[in-house]
Amino acid sequence: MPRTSCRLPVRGLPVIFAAVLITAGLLFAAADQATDAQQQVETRKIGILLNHNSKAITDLAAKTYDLAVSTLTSG
Amino acid sequence: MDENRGWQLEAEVEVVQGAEGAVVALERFNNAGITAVAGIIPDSSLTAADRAIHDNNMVVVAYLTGFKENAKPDNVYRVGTNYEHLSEAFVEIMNEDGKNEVMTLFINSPVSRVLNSSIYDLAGAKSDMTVLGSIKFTPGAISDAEGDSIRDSVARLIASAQDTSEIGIFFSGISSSLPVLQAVAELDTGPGSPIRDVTIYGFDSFRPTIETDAGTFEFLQRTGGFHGVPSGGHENEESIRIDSILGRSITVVTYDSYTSLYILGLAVDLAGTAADADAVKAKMHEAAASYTPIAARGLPTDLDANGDVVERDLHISSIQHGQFEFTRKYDPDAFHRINQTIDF
Repeated sequence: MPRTSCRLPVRGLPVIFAAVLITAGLLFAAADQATDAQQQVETRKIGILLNHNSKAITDLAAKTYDLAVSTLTSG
Repeated sequence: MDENRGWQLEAEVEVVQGAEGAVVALERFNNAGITAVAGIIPDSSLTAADRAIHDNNMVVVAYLTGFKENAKPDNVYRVGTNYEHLSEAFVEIMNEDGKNEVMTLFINSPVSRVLNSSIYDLAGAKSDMTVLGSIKFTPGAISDAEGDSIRDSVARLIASAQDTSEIGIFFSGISSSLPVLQAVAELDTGPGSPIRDVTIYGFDSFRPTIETDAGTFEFLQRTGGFHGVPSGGHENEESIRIDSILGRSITVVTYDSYTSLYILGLAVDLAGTAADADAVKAKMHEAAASYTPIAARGLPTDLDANGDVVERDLHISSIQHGQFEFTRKYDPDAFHRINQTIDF
């Protein structure tokens, strides 16, 4: 999983615009470092909907989703 | 988790019943600012929630749905084998095995009713196949009277066949349906019993139940056997990892369930946000395709243009030489014989 970062779409752009973007990018990168320094972590929330009459299936799905979230989180 | 990571995934869980419950839950998610949702969402719930999902511009990855048309290219992605493909596979497998006198023994559930009806129609439309009849049973435990009734009905349909060796039974039982098969097994009163001539076709997810009941396993060995569809392909690094954490009695159900959330999480990662549904949607196909090379048991997860998971080759498990083996692989065009020992 990538860290939050600024990606600059400079390929193919005229140099003058690229320079402006790179400058902006450095500013964003600095801000990103500051964020890292504070060890702030962005939380992205998703929903899990378990809509089934069978408890066995619901329990199994809950376990697999837990594992999937854990895998995604650990990278 | 790693505190230097740029983001973390947090899941909010809603456990509800019925289509109305699903609609309410999705509205609650939306009101809480959550627009990306994965989960078990049956076809009836997806239909009922269609407007809420669309109007709120949500992105939903649904599992345990079977109708291809419930995938919507702009909002709803569907994971798992569709009913049409599954029904065709059952009929084609029976036809290839020369089991052209078909009966269905199906659980009274929405999914099973659809499959039963579809198999009934497909087999009935084939010039060389005959449908003997259908027997419905209730989910869960059955009473002695129900067991007697099921056994009598199966015996009656077997007696109506032209050639008992050509009888194929589609059995849509789940783990709690073992007593139904045990009731049928009582028709086996010894050599020459007509029930020994029949072959049973069912869900591979029922295989672990058979494997843990010696009496049923031995009964099936005395008959034409049990063929399970769809089973996953061979184990791989991903399935070994999942199995090691969740346990051994694993079927395609588990892997598809895992996939539905995992590819949504990958799309969120690629999009850089979970809050912007359009951004997540734009990455869904890329996310799903990126998981295919490593997906558990080689089950492809790519999505087609409609947001439906691509049709898969269906592995078929059968009892051979006293154990379950992969015997064939079915795709819409052909059978492929593989004959390999199942590595569960």
